[in-house]
Amino acid sequence: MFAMLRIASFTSVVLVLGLLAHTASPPPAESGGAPGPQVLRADQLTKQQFRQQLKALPDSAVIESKGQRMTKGQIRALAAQKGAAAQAKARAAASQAQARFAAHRAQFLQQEQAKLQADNAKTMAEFGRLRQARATPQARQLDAIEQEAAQLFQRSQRASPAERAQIEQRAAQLLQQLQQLGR
Amino acid sequence: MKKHQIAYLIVLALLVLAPVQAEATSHYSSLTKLCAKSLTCGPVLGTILPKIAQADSPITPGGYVVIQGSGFGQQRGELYLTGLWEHPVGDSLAAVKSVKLTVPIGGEGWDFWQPGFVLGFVPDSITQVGDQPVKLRIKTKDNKWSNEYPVNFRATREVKLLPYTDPAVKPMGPDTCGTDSNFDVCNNWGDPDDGGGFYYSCGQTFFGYHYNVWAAPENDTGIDTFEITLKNGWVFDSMPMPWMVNVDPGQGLAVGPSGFPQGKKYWKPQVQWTVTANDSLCHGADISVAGPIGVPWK
Repeated sequence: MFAMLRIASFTSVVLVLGLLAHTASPPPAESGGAPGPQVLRADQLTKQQFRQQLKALPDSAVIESKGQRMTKGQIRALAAQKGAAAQAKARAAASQAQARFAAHRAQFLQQEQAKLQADNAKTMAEFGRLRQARATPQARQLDAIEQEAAQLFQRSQRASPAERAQIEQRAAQLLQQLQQLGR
Repeated sequence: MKKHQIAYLIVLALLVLAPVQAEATSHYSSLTKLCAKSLTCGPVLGTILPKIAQADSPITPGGYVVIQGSGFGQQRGELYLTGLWEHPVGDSLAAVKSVKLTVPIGGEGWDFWQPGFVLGFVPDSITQVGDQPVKLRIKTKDNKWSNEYPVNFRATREVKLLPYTDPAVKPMGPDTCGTDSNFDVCNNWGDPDDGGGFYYSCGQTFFGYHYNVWAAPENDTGIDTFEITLKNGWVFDSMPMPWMVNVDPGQGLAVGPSGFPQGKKYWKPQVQWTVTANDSLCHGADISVAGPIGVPWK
């Protein structure tokens, strides 16, 4: 049923287009005989003259150009045909444009993401180097002093007079070690 | 009250109000000196203030940043991005905000927060902001603030297809659209002399449609001049669909535009066209623009 409908629809389109094509075909130039309607000879006019006179004519007026004739109504129908064809092309182009843009956008975002990941990898590597630098014997010794200094400081806050002397003594040793490490 | 009694009271008050400092200075001369040099207890005593000496730049949402300096403390503090100017959108007002960066959890026996360097992560949810100078600041566990260290912020980018109805595309009129043919349309403007009211778009960002009727004694020619201006850090990205012309075979032609300004914010493309009798021509282009996400481009 759906297929039949599609065929019917297609036939209708062909019939309409055929009719339009028929009405849009320029009639052959008249050669003598009974006097016809007023004829506008386009070849003898300038662009401006042609445009002004064409505007003023009714749809039934005949226009002649290079031995061919067409009524103004036929010319209008031809213009509408051209417009419809252009519109159909435009619709197709618009949907293609959207699809093309979607692909471009996906690629753009992918590139941005790739750049971000590459930058993050560099940053993590930099952090790794800093950690490595702290893994040297000297850095480890410094870390140990730092940690013990923190512990001594914590103890000092509630230390008894006897403990104070021990803390001071140990702090003096650590201070000396720091000085030996050039700090 | 005697002098020695007053002195006693002062010493007592100092011990009560600031026991740590008092203890450290009165009983612990070596410990005080040690802590003055130590990154662990120095910040607590106030002898070492946190100081940022170096940081990666630019920083971007979804990215990591290494901050180097001293006095950050052994324990985790907080890391902030400050002075971030948020672009107004719609009725909203511009605002300067502060964003807390996260410090990832480290492995066994180590952390991303170290007394001398810290790794921060910039939230990828930051939008509605353009590229701009900002500052990084550290707050130690003991609530001591570091200096403000200047870095550049690069916003997350997005890409858009610019429609010809967009305010960034200047409206067309009789001065900018060629009107020599019998039907002339440029973007959202149709020559009223031709009846107007018809739109055959063959380009999403700009286009021109020109039709010369059957029997026209001469060719029609003209120039369509478009103008596009982008703002707030947005720039021309590309023309995903190449500039195109629809024209009947063997008939009219169009020349231009030249020099797509990738990376720039202003373009005035011109297209010179010619159509013969009973011929229609449609030229147009699709242009994508790129810029900071959530920020208007016009």
